[in-house]
Parts: sequence; C-alpha cells; structure tokens
Amino acid sequence: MDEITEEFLLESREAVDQLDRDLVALEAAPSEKEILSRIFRALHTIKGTCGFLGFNKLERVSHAGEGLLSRLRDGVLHVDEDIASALLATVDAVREMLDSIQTREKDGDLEYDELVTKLKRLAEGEVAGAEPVPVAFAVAAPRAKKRTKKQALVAQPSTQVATNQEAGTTAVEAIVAPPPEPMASGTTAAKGPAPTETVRIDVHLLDRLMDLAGELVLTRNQVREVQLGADNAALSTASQRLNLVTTGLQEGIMLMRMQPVEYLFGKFPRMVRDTAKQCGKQARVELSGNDAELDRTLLEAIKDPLTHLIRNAVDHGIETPEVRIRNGKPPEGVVSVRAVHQSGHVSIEISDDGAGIPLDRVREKAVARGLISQERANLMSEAETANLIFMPGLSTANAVTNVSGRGVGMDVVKTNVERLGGTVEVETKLGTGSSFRLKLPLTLAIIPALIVESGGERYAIPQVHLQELVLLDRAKQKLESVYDAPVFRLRDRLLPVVFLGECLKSTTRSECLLRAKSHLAVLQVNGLLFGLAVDRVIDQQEIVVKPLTPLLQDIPLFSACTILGDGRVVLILDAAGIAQQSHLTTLQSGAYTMDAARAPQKGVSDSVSSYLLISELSGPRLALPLEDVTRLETVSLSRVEQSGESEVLQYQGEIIPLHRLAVLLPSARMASSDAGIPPLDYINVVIVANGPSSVGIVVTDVVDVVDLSSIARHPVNSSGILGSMVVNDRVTDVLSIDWLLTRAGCAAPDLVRSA
Amino acid sequence: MMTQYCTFELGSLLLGVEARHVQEVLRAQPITLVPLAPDFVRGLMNLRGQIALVIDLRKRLDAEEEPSAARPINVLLHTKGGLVSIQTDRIGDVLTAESESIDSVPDTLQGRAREVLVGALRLPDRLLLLLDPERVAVA
Repeated sequence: MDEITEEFLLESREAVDQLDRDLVALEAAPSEKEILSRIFRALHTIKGTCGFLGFNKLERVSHAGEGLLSRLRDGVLHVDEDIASALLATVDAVREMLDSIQTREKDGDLEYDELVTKLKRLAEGEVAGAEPVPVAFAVAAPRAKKRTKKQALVAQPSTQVATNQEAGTTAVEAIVAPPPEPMASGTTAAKGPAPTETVRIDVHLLDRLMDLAGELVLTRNQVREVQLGADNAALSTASQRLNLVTTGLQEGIMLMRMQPVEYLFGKFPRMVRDTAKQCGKQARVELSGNDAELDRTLLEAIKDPLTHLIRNAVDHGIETPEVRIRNGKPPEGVVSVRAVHQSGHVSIEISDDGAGIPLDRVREKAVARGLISQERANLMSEAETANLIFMPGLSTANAVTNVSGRGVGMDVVKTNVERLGGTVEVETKLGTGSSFRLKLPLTLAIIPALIVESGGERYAIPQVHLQELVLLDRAKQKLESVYDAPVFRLRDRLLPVVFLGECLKSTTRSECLLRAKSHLAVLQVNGLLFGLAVDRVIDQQEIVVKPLTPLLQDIPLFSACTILGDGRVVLILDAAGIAQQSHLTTLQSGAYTMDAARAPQKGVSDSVSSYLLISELSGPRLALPLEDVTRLETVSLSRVEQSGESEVLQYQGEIIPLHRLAVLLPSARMASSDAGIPPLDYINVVIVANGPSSVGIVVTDVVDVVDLSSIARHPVNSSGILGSMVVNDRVTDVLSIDWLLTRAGCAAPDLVRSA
Repeated sequence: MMTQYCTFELGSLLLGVEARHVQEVLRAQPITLVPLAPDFVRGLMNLRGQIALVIDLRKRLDAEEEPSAARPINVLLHTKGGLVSIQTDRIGDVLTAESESIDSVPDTLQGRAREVLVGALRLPDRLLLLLDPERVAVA
C-alpha cells in the first residue's frame, strides 16, 4: 500500500471515531452549530481525499452524507432521530470501507444503495436537493495531502481545507495553518485549532526506547559503583549528570506512552445509544475525568472489559422507560463513567441508576448451578453475594439477548482486569443501581513490587496484590495447622498460608518451618486473602516488567520477569497462579474471603476506615488515617543524613525529608519527648505521599491497624486533630496528615497530573 | 547455495547452527533459576537489558552426561520467541557448506535429539549435526 493511502486510512479512522462522538452529541444538542460544522468538515475531508485516491464507492457514500449535512448546516433541516441514525449508518459504512481498503486495497463490494437513497431522501425532506458542494474542493484536499507527506507525517492534514469553501482560498493557507487537533483530544477542537505539535511514532519504536532506557539505568548503576571506588572528582560529576539525564529520559519515555482515557471513552456515547435502542430503552452516558492518562497498551487492554460493563449496565441495569416511570425515575437512564487519577492508580467507575442486581436471585442461581452450597449461601454477606456475579456461568438476565445474558463475560472482565494487575469491585443496591469500580495501574511497563527471597533466589510480588507484611517468629507470631494445612491468626481470622519455597518446589515445608524468622506477605487476589511465607523480604522497588519467553509462559506461578538494579534477572510471581496451584479458590475457602464490609476502600460502606495506631512516649494515643500512609519503615539511625538544617533519608532513589512527630505537634501536647529514654539505634518512619514525592514522619512506635466505622469528628483546628475515637478503652486522637504536612512546611500536595 | 554454519562441541558431538541466527558468543554469566521449568532450562540471563533463556544443550539432546567444561560457553541465538542461549563446551570454526550436501536426520534417530536436529553435514572426518534454533526452546 502506498504511503498516501496509509496516511489517509490512519487519519480517516480518527476522523470516523470523532464523528461517532460528535453525532451522538449533536443528537442531544441539535442546535450546536460548532459540532455540526466539525462533522461536516470531517466528512468532507474524507470525501475529498478518497475521490482523489480513486475510492469511488466511499466517495459516493460520504458525498450523500455530506449532502444531508449541508442541509442541516444551512438550517433547512433539523436533526431528529432518523437523520442521526442515517448519519451514524453512514459513518459505519465509511468505517467498513476503510477496513476493506486496509485489507484489500479497495473500498469493498457493497454498493450501499439503500443508504445513499435514504440519505438523499432525507436531504430532500423539505426542499428539493441541490448539489451541496462544488466539485472543486475535492481537488483542494488532495493538494493539502501532499504537503503533509512532505512534512514528515506531522499531524493530520488540516481540516481547514474544507473551510476554504467559504474563503475561496487555495490550499496554501492550509499549509500554514496549524494542525487542527492533536490525536485524541476531540474536545479542544471545539475551541478552534490549537497550535499543538504532535508527531506520530511507531509503537515498537517506543517499546524499544523503553528497553534502552532501562538498559541505561543499569549502565548508570555500574558507573556509579566504579565512581564510588575511584574517588575521582571529574568522574563523580559526570556520573551525577548521567544519573539526572537517565532519570529524565526514563520519565519522558514513560509519559510518551501515556494517552488520555478520552481515547477510549469517546466511543461510549455511541455505544450506549445503540445498545439502548436495541433493548428498547432510553439511556445516555455521562463521562468525566476524560483527561486521566493511562499507558497505551493498558488502554487497549481495558477496552473489552469496559465495553462489556457498559453494555451490561444498559441491558441489565437500566429498566425500560415504563418501569422507570412507574418507579418514579426519569424515563431516561444514566450510565456514568468516571475516571479518577489517584496516587499511582487510575480508577474507573461505571455506574448506572437502574434496577440494581437482585442478590436473592444471584444466590438462588449460584446454588441451582451448584456453584455454592445452600448453607454457604445462607451465610454470605451482600458484598460476597454481589461478587458471585464474577463467577463463570452465572447470569441474572431472564432472557438471553443479542447484547448480554449468556452468563459469559463478567468472569472474563474480572480475569482480564486482574491480568493487568488491576482489581474490579461491584456495589449494588436494589432499585437504585449498580456500580463497578476498576482500579488500574498507570502503566503495565513499570510497577511497584516487593522483592522477596526464597530458597536463595529472589522474586518480585506486584504490590497491587499485597495487603500487608507480617514478621513471623517462633515465639509470638507463629503458624498453626489445621490437619496438614498451615494457617495463621491474623487479628481475628484464620488465614491460609502457602510456603513459597514449597510452591516452587525449591525447599520442603519442614525446611521452611525450621527458619527462626520468616515473613508472611498477605496477598489478596480474586477476593481471596492468603499468606505467602517467604524466607526474607529484601526491598521494595519499581520494576520494569518484561514478558516471559513462550516456553515459560505455561508455568502458572510466574507472570513475567524483570531486571533489578544490580543486573540480576528476577521472576515476577503471579498471585492468582499461586492461589490456584495451592488449591485455594474462592469457593473452597469461602470463610477466608475478604469480607468487603471490613476491607478499607471497599466502598460498600464508606464509613468504615482503617487507622494506624501510633504511640508517642507521653501524651494521648494517636492515629493516622491509613489511606494516607504509603508505607511503614524501620530505619537504622545511620541511614539518616543531614541536608541543610533538616534530616533526610534516601528512600527508593529519592531524598525524602524526615519530620519528627513529637516536634510537629504543639509542645504542650507532647511533654518532654526524649526525657530519660535511652536513644534507640533505629527509628520508625511512616511514609506519606506528598504529591508526587514522599515525606517521612518519625514516630516512636507503631502499635496496630484498626478498622473503625466512625470517629467523633472535631473541626480541624490548630491542634491538627481530625477527631477522636475509643480504641481498646483509650481515647485516641486522629491526626490530619494535611495539617502535619503544612506544619512541616511541605508544599500542599498537588495530586492532579499536569502532564 | 552456500550457507555459513557456526559450530561448537558438546562432549564428542560436533554441532552447528546457521550463522545468521547467532548473535554472539559469551563466557558464563550469572543465571536466575526458574523453578518448575522443563529440565533442559538452565534459567534466565541478563544480556545488556535483554533477557535470554539459557538452555542446557546436553539435557536438551539427551547427550551422555560427562563432567561439563569448567565454564560453559553461551551461544546466543535469535529466535521468534526471543533470545535463547545454548550452553556448549567449546566453540568451533565457522564453516561454509553447500546446503545441498546436508543429509536428513536418520529415521532411526529417536527421542529428544530428533526434536531439535534438522540434518547432518558430512565433513571429511566427522559429522556436523545441525540444530534448528526455533525448536531448541520449545517443549
């Protein structure tokens, strides 16, 4: 295929996606001249170029569509459902022909006579149709094409070409005009062409650059080691510059791979409209958070799960208009799709104001299909029952429709999302609606992970599955057995335990048990909670995920591999695979599943939160909201360094400031904090996020984590107390992290990405 | 057609692959073990940011066990599934041969070796057994 055609396809596809969005928007707001002229320009550009390239069928269809559009634009006709459907059908036809050009280099065998006739009939609706557009413009567009080719594929050919119709200028103007819209930023186009500079880049090239940046990081680490041994000032300076440049380069490449979710969301209005029509319902979609960004591979990978959830919301969730009116709701249902960027994750929430999921029916069906026992069903909480819908073979739809109800799908949604290192949760209320929340990492390429050791080899556990770490020692925190199955008492429940060494067949269980100390990583996957016993916890690192070679992909325990800073290759553990291998499934060990009501961030009961209990030497017991805490670290005093007048700590490649809680709090509250106590050689640091960076708060002791449903709130005043609660019969004050940060003189966190 | 073969020795066997598949030859490198992998997989190795699968060729070919050379030599091959390193005892010459003079593997050859050998080249004094890089790292 020649370059011009390829470029035409690429651009037309984007234009067609935008057309879908705009047409649905136009149907909702028929008087929006701006949208109408954008639609007109887009179709006109396609028509002009394909005429030049000799795709006559495509030209004929788009010409007919344009004819109808010009009537609308002239105000002779007004958009109604018929017209909107016909125009959407035109877009579909154009898309089909583009596909055909892609695969067979011709615009297909279909004639689309019916469509063309319909478009013409609609266009002639009131006034006898005239030729809408002079032929000359079909020539103007291709001339503009040529310059884009010369200009090294910079952005799209200007849709300005179409406006030449009025101005009567030549294509030369189009050359000067800036590209009207960068890739995937449809909304800005309404404000007129923005002077954005974009370049198209091959994805494989991006991936390669990403790899190279990773390699550069390793090289930098080696250089640093040489430099430390050499004591050479010039080398030291060069090494520091190398360090900065490498970090900058890596971050830049990461950002290059990010795309706004709008790219995906843009397809939803059309989808909801069509699905609703198909099911005889009325529905619209409300989008927000379009500018949250995700890695492009991830964006592509969540397309199917999201599509499925949205179609489900319309087909299963939203009731027919009659039922809705009877229940006192507006006839038109709303599916809202919301993306929020929060601390290293993007969460996407899809909620509808429909009927909700009938949990009784779910329970009955699950029992009827033998998925759970009756006894078990009687004991299940609402949240657990709602999670049953993610099991294979369960659908609550009465009838199998074209759209959904075959009982496949929700399990696929869950598997797909979890494969990406994300989670999906459901919350539903009968009569009010359901909401699905997907929590996704920003990128697949780099993830935070815990590095552990077992049998002398190191492994990485993705942080997304990690709930907490417990240090096992034979004296206090020990493992017990139920027959042969090791279990651990985690606060008030029994946790099944898997020995990593045994699972990997590298050490036997008795060897694992003999160790004086080991760590238990509490993992959550598929709603199942279990402990993974490892020999040692090494570190927490951001790792670059690399795929496993095909021969090793069949081993369920590993999902991928990575290269650590010291150059060593490390396998990434697949928590779901380990659970499976160890015969832990949600069904068999239902008693151990996460009870959603007590889990933090589960949303079902927003009022339950977790708090970190800390104690200072004197004064009242204190607590911090756990959601603000990133990590807890015990740091040897020798690692604390001075920078200027403050204490700092090197932490995961960053320099983070340390603040002593006793100093931050008003002195009246904290009587002599260090009187008479021998200084320890380590400190406890609570790491909290402060925008993109971290801050360490030094506390005397960390006591426990508690879940509480409510605290008595105080107005936040000078003492920095959010509220009080009673824990173990002692009054405990909850501190405001924001207040502490302000007091510490740290800039207020700015969590909004500005990239 | 003339083809170049990179040759290496494993015990008494003389083996070869088409030179165009060979990226480089390396001394032993640190290897990460992969539990539960097929027995002929030695592990994974970091080659300047790329990850190579290391194959124990002796096990792959079911060749006779003998005290292996103190430090095996890695021959790195490009395959569709990524970089594969095969461990051999000694590296040999690069030979150029007519591809017509390659004999097929005798039908009587059974077992694992059959999975990875594509033919034999008659050299004046001995036989050069040819490996198919694509099949080396397939179970």
